[in-house]
Amino acid sequence: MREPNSLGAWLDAARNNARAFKILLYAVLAVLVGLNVVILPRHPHFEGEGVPGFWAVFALVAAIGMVVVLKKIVYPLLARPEEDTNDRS
Amino acid sequence: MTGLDQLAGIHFLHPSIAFLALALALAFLKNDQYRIWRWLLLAPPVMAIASVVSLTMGPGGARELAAVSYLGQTLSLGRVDTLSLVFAHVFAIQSLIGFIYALHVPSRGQHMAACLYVAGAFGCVFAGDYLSLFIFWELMSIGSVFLIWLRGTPAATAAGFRYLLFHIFGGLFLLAGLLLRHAELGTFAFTAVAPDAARYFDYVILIGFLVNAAFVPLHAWLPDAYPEGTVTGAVFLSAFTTKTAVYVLARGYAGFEILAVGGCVMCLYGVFYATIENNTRRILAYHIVSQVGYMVCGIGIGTAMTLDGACAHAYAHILYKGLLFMGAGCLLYSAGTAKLTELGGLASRLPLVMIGYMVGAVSISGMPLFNGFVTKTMTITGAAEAHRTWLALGMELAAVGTFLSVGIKLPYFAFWAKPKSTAELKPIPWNMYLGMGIASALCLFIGLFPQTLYALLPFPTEYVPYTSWHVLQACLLLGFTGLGFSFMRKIIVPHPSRNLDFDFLYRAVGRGFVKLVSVPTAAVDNVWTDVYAKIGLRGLLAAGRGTSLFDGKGIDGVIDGSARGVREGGGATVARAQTGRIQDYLAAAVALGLLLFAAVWFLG
Repeated sequence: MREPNSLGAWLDAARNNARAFKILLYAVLAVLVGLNVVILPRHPHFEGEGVPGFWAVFALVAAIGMVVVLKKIVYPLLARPEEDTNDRS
Repeated sequence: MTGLDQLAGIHFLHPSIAFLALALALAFLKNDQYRIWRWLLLAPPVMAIASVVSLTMGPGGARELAAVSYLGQTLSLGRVDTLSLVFAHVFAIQSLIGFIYALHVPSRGQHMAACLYVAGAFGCVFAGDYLSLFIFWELMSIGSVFLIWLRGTPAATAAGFRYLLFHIFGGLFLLAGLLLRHAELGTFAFTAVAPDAARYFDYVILIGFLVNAAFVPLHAWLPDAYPEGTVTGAVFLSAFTTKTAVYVLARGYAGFEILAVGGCVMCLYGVFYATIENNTRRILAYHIVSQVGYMVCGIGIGTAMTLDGACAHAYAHILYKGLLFMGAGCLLYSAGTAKLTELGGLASRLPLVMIGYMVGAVSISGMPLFNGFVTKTMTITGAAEAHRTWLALGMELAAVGTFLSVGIKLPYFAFWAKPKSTAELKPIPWNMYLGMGIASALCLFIGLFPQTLYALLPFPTEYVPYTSWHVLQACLLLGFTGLGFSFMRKIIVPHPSRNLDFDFLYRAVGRGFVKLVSVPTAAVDNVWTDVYAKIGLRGLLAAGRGTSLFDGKGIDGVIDGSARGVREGGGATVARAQTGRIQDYLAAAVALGLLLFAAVWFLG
């Protein structure tokens, strides 16, 4: 089946506007943190959850920490040469 | 004919029957006529959906619908209750999606394997006793291993053997446990075990279940074998084995603390490995370990909400994980590789594949509006409300890692990262798109209308996913994970490698065993060769002269006649059947086993 060309062209255009998407991401994140000041859990499951921005910091620190620890420390210890997995079929 | 009377006593069409019948029929069809017979592949799934939906609409409460006598035991093949129905429901739907996705495959062997595999899964879900469960459990192992072997590559053959050995190992634990249990309790009934009343045989059975649930450290068969499966076979593999294990754990072992803690470890372990993995299908395989971890953890905590969460998450997971494997399968089919280092820049070349994959990716990541959101948050909230804060935080951390690796890393490096790809792409058949389309629509539908899924859940719980806080919390978690990725995208770049996991340990054990046997054998053989050369040969020559004389005078006449008989009477056929490949013997053994089973049932 043929994939639609128009959709492909639109995605190419989107790729060329990566900067605009980045600004949009920052704006959305700012709005979310702003909302977090107003919207808080009615019954926090632990103390930290009641602090605005808790989950934002949690996710950011976790994502960066995970990449650094796993890719820089764990990966060199575990990586072995790839076997011939015969992907080309 | 007692067997026929028993058949008449079955009050519902057991979904396994249609799949087994199709597997049998396929044995008599030819690969080159697949354009005609392939439509038959859709019949068993449609019948399964009809059967399960009619059961769902039927009277509530537990029902025993198909108990049959077999070899002096009563096999309960049709225990129908809310727990079995929620799994049967999604199994039926996923079998239809899987067969639509595989509709272009002209290999009847692959379809037969898938049929046996799905039949086994339905059999397990409706089994009311351990004996029936064991039979279908093993049928699943055998059906599924052919979905790996039939890829036909050396890597697939090797991984398939490791997979089979590990599942035989797990199956033996189940068998040993159920026999020990029968010896102690005098029953095969498959009922819930209270955590404080569990005996040693319950733990033996539990080990058998945990192998199939890919419980760390018994999990390594999964990321080892699934990425080597056929393009369409992996879609089936991702759905049935681990989720059947989740079902039996929910049925028998709710509230076991080891499951609560071990489930959380699974969540994180799978995510950590996926973050450093290069092969798209292996990333997804590690995420099966991780996602099944949520379910196992929920079962271990054992409250109504976490058990419901586990069942709901299994339902959602089957749909989105199948979708993700379909997306990765399209990449492998079209671009010829599943490795991120060899992919890239495909977004505008394969936009529909990208969109389908992304629906699966945001679903698994728990984005509001998609099915993962309404099921994952249920398990985590259930854990938090049961005051298991650390487990809930572990699952939130795994959610960050999930979005990081499956939601962003994989699509970023497969579809974007590099400049627009100019690689030659094989056109993808329409049915593969259709399979992805149906799965995408269901992921969205359940996300938008969670009550349709909640209505199927076994325990009454009040959970409202769409509160302003839940939605905001999910958006914060995903949004800031995205920010973390954008900072780290130069570091997380995948590299071609195979990362050490527990499968290296059991490969080392295997090699050690071979050495243990071969070294002493070689030593004995050396000594024996010397002894034989010095003593045996002389004696043998003398004996040879004697037998030659006897042979020439007496035997020739008799043998000539019978040798001709063997040659003309099928000796050549027998020789041809001896292919020397253990896969063929296994297939023959299964066919023979099923025939014997049927013969004993009908005539016994």
